[in-house]
Amino acid sequence: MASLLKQIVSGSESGCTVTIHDTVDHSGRYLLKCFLKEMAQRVDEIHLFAFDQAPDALLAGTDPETRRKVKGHDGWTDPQGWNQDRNVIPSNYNAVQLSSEKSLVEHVKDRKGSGSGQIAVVIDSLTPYILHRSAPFTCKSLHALTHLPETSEFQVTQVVSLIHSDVHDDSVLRAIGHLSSTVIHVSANMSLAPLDREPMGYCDIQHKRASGKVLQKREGYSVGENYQIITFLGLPSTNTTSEPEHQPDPTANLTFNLTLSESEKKARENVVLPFTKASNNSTTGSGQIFYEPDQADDYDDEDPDDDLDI
Amino acid sequence: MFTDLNAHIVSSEPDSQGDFFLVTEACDSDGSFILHHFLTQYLKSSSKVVFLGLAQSFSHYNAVAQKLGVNLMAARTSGQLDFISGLQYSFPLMREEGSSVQSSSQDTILQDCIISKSLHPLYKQLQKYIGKETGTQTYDGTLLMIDDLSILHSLGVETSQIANFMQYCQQSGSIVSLLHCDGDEDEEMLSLSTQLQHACTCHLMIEGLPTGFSKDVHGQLTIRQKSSNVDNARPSKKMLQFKITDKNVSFFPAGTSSAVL
Repeated sequence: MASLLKQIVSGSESGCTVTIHDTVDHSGRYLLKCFLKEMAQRVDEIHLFAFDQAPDALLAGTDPETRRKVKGHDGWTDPQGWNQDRNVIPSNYNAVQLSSEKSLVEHVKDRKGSGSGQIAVVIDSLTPYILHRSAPFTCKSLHALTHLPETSEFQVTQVVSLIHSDVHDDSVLRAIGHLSSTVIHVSANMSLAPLDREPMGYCDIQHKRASGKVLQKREGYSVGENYQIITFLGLPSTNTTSEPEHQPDPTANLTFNLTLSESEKKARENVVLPFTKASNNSTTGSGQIFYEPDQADDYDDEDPDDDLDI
Repeated sequence: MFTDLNAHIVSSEPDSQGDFFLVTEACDSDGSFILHHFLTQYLKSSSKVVFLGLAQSFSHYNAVAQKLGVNLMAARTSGQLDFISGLQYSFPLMREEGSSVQSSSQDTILQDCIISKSLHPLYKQLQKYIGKETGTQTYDGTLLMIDDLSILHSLGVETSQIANFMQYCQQSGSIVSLLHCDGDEDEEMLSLSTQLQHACTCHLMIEGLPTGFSKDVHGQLTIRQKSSNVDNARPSKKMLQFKITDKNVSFFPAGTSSAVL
């Protein structure tokens, strides 16, 4: 069984909007950096919006390969414009002010290198943005990022953002959750074991596939050297390999038959059900009853009486 | 400076931009002794200290520091300590409008903050002290100390403004700040406390004993430290109990008070 978390981080399970919900007890920033590292191998440019930390502090420890692809947007040093009258040291990051009307898309557009078509966006974190700009505005900006017009010269392939879930109320978190294709709740695992032996935290993943299928999973994870992700399946502990329990078979010694053989199954499939169009084709008369399953009906061939409340 | 406490706080990596110690106290406890610990520690280790005192007067802090063996008066005259009397700033706010007492322009800083709905004026004032030329004397880093942030909220400053203010302060060096948090009474205050806990590098939480008052154990302290380093990514969380004596505070693991054992 492959790890869903690993698939999402490496991009084989695509999710265009990933939000990592963390709490004071366990920071989601380690996982965010794993995403940063993995995405650098897939896209032309990564636009990093830093609202919680200086971009330099955030990029500390990442490898130069990743750094070359990162375009920093500094929303930490001067988000309110208080330092404008001071002579600021020029930085190679684009300054983002929370009070300005400029949207995230415009910031990306301004800093984008020519010829970069595939762009990923990393936001650390959404919390100050939501607190200053309101939740609906944040949702709108996120949506605008992932739904650029077809004619645009670049496309945002993935947006990964961090959000401190204990700061916001439920309605805000749910709004952001609806917008994202993947929601990862991280929580701490209290243990003293080395990081590669036992997970440093758990991820509760809710992943919506493009087909509409929703996957829910809980996996353990650790972050190794160079922000390599290590996943742990089978919780709570991976070390104890449990024997598959022998399930007693209740249908084994019965005086009657509960299961069908192949030929019996075939015979059942050939039976024409009463009141369906096929069975009533030949009969004529008035006041006939037809049963025609419409699309909303969940018609199950295996069990046609499923809807009866017996 | 309580040497006991230093053993429990891991000093940060030298390349980090500064520590942010957040001290929160619950309604049934007093965390100011932690502030005195940091104040004396930083003064002894020859750092420059800018102290924004909103809760007490200078003579109060001076009297306590003297007991701990540090002379604040001398530090102030030498320029190592800058004490900003926040009590003076809050005074004009309490006065009735149109009163005849003239106040100097400095005293109206908090008034300006409330009118402009932003703590920018206060920040500018602090910057004057932090960026001040220190002459020939060189110091090891700067510490900004605030006692206590919740008073700003009580005076009518919005919590979002306090969060902004703290973010800017974080960039000028290390911070030690006290925040009084009364259970679940004030939603905004709780939210501010959580936001600051996310921002800080070390959170020290002072609470009374959940089992009630005790003569030998005065409360419990929870220390939560964060590390940006992956190698020790496991969060460190320690719970200690303490007993405050006249000149010292002893810390011990929960349940190991000398009165119990």
